[in-house]
Amino acid sequence: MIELKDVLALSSILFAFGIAGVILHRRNLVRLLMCVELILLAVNINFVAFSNSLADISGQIFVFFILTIAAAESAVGLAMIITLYREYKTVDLDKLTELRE
Amino acid sequence: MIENIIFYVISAVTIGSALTTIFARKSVYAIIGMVLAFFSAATLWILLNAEFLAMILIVVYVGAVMVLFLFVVMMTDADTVQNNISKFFIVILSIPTIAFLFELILVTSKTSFKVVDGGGSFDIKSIGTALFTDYVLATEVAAVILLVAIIAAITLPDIKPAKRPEPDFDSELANKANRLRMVAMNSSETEADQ
Amino acid sequence: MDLAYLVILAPLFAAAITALWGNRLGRKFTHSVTSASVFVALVVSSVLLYKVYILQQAPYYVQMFKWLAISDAIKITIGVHVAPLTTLMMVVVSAVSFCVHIFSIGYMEEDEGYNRFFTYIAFFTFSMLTLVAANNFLQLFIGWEAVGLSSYLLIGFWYSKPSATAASLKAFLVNRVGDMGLVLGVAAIFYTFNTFEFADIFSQIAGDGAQNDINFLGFMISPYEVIAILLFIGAMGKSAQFPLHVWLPDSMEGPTPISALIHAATMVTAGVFMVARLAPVYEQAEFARMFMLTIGTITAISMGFVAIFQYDIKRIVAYSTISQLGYMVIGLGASAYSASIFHLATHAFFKALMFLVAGSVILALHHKQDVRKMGGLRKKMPISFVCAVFAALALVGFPGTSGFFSKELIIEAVQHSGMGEVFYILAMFGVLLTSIYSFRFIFIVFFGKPRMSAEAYDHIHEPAKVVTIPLILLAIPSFLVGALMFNHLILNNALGVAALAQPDNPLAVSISEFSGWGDMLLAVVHHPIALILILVGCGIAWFITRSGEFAEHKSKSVKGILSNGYYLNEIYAVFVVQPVQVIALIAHKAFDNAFIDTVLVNGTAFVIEKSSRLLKKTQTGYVYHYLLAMFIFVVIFGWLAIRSGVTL
Repeated sequence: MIELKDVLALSSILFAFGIAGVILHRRNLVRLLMCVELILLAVNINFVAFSNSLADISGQIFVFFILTIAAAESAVGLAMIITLYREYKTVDLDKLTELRE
Repeated sequence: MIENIIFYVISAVTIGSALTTIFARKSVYAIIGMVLAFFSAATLWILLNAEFLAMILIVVYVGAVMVLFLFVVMMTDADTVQNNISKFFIVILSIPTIAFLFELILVTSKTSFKVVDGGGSFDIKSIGTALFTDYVLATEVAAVILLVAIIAAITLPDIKPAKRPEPDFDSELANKANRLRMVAMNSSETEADQ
Repeated sequence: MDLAYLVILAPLFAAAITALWGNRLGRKFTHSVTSASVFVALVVSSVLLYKVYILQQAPYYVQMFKWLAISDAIKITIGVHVAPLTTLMMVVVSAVSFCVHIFSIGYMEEDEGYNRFFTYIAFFTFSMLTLVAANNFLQLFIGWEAVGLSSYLLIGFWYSKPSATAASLKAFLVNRVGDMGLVLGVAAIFYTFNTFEFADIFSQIAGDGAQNDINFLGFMISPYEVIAILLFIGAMGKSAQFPLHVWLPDSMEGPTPISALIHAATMVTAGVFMVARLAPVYEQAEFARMFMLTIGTITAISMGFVAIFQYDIKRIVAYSTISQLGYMVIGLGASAYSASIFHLATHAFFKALMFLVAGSVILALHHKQDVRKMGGLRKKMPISFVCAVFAALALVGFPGTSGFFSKELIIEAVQHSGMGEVFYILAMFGVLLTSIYSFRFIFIVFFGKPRMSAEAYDHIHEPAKVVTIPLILLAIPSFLVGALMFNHLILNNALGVAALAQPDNPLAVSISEFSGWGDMLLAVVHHPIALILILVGCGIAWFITRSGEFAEHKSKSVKGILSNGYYLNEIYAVFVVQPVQVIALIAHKAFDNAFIDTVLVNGTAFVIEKSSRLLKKTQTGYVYHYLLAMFIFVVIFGWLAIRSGVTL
């Protein structure tokens, strides 16, 4: 039998790595988005674990919706990256400073 | 017992692939790391009696999203971005990360969660029933969001770059003589007008 | 909805309407709305007066709304107390106010602030009626301050005139001194009786008089004395008694109708009214009555002297008002409360009349107020002249006029009060002074040769009918109301002043000889001293004004001291105003400039500027910097949360 706390520890590790990755890949938009996906995965694992241990279907439903929204989010996000790239010829966040000036 | 062993192995694989995702030099390796992470997560979900979601995870993420990422990496020069991460910065970052990790694990281990014996096991039918009865409104909204995302994803790259405004030479040529005209007016008339 | 509501609400609504839409709807609308509202108040209060006087109905209270309910025992309501005393005051207030409204239509005709003026006087009427109708101290206090506010606004009505704004400020500040006494008095009332309502206080006094003494400045004093004196200090401010009277002469900077309404007939009598309303409390406080008698006598005599030496037509009347208020306070001090209220009512009419006559003269002379430039107006302004004579006769108390009955009663009461013969002699002497200044006013303005240019004299004429009709309207009650009210108010004790029922009350002793107003009139034959004094005063006045030369008084002579009102303003300037100014200067330099401005205000700005320059460096514009900071703080706060035992 898998202990709930072990699963939570695993998702905690994924979550912390995800945040660290977002800070680490501050300039590369594509890598940054990947790290966001990692954070979402950690959240999903939590939901599934609690759904199992509490015998409640709501957790799984939530994961279902999160997957849906995350898919939509990556689709739109990647489309935007493509658009940005065509405009500025780069995905470097530090060079996308149009709004700052 | 065998479940536990599988769990630890999967956990190790997940953490390793997550580290790969973060630290890989090339974006393609990072994507492969993510795919591995998703696969191992799906395995974990099967262990947690969520077979349907595990399949969905693989189909949606590995089959669609990660492929999208791959396309994007190929279409852009994502790897050419100068990302000179210094050792110092990694150390700086690792301190709060490890502290955060420590805190999370401390909190989760100190808290006593309610646990139902045997755990919950839900088949596709019960998930479907829940989705189209209790959560039907949320499902509809999610569907609309997906539709919008599809439209956005199709139309966004199609937007032409905006033309930057050309410098206005007319305004540089302007002077007092061709812009301002002095007119003599009878002041009593203006008073009467008012 | 009781009828009595209208007394208070009609002027309030009129003031609100004219304040909001007066300028848009025009002058005619403004004066008709306000005058109509005051007329409604007059009619309704007359009906109420008829009910409680003639039909002898028991006093009752009409509650408009409950303002505060602190507990079952202590609740503060706003409403109209319908009793003989209050309804009499309401009738006096609304009647004079109505006449003044009509008069102002003519008087203020050429003024730019026409709508503002009518809004103010309607608001004043509302405030005064609120004060009068109160059955508890808080409503009385609201009305008290509201009349003070309207007085302030109206004295400073011509706000572009520096002297007017200074006078309004002075009136406000001097009244604050008195109001401090009033507030402390109300506090002492609540401390002693645990209620604000008059009726409860009176019943507690009637029940067990034994109350604990109050520790006042280290002395154990009877609570009645403390309350009575504190409240009388409030009354001194409002009713312009001797040390605090300085604002009233200056208040003549306001328009003349205002002087008639507020500074002669109604507001200044609020103090007298309050003391009479609280007669049961004052009956328990012998020292306070002695104090009032002294203050009243000083005021009546000293201000009578000053009035003789004034050259400003309005200041003559103003000092005479203070002097007459002194008489009312003498009456209060001699426990002759109904006599004081009687004098208050008659004085309201004849003094308002006198002011309006002065106003009509001022109007005819194009706003010149110096009596040295007048004279001989008798032939040009016959109506004003006749009215002025009526007012003067009533003022001196010529037998048969309204002033005769009221003032004689007060003097008689002083004689029987047993407070000392000296007060009686001084009160009698005051009659002489009154006679001198009143007849001097008549002689100097209406008799003799005209002291202005012949051309100007030819142009003088009686003002329009809206001005003269109020004069006639006021002249009739000035002459007749005394005899009419004497039987009801005094002999039948219609005001229900309990003190009068006691056989040893001075007023009760003095009226025991009369069975009606005719008796009192005939009594002059046996005691002609007052009449003789009046005639002597008349002669002196004729002698003073005969020469027709009016030099400026030398500032250091006796005349100079009197014409400057004993230099009280200058004394206050040295002993009160200058120390305050020094303190203010120190506060300005040391506290305001050095501490608040430099340290607090500029110091704050300095620190903020420097620290924001420092903080600006952290605003890099890189998202990951913010994210890292956020992350670190989440870790820190998470750690703090865990330390304090937070679990999921």
